[in-house]
Amino acid sequence: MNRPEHVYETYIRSTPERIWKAITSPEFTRQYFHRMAVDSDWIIGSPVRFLYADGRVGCEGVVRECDPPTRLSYTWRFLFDEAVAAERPSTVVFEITPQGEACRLRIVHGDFDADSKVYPMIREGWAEVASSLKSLLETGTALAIAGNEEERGAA
Amino acid sequence: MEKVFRALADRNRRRLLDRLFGTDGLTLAELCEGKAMSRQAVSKHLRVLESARLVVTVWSGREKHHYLNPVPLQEISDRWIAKYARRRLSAVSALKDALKEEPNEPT
Repeated sequence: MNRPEHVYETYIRSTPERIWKAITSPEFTRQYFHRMAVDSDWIIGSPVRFLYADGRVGCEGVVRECDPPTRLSYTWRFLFDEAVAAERPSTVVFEITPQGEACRLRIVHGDFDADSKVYPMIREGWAEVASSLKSLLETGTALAIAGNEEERGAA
Repeated sequence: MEKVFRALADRNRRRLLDRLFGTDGLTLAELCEGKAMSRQAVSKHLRVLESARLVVTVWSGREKHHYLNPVPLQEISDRWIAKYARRRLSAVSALKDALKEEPNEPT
């Protein structure tokens, strides 16, 4: 098995419950996730949407696994241009593992087709999001990167 | 963070990261292909990269796959690069705003 997949890992000095809240609540994601608010009831099979402040949907998916506060998975479809929106949805898995004073957050984004356009696009995006999330939980301030500073243009 | 800088200080380790940037999820055998380095040397470099968390491994059956983890590099960039580059970037964005205010020349 050698399908295209990205694996990200960061260690965050926080509790699994707080990290869980940060990845599932709009008031948190808005601060570190390209200013998008996540919207879902987190029931398996329910929709997951990431909304900009003006109501536009940036990405969407369906909840696959929800096992608080350790494992969350949903499908992922980018909507910002027609070519990527037409791709088969990929899958994101979040694993939160307590390790002493901190927690390991592992994000696996996989299940891409071999010719996926999204796959090469997202590498830096997730790294920025993970670094910003870590900063938010450890210092109370998200980083002024990853489009958090100003609204993203429609282009 | 010191572990990350130390891991990056070696050319062979940077090459392994570049290799994984090109094709992620390679096994040790695949990473050794076409390399002048011995399997033991590659394996040792991978351990240093893993310990700096620049490489993350995932087992799939009996195969260990190696993935480039860019998060530590992002953290260095956020801490040590963005901070010093911000002034320059804000100058560029101020220039952009000033140019936007200029009335467009009729074409």
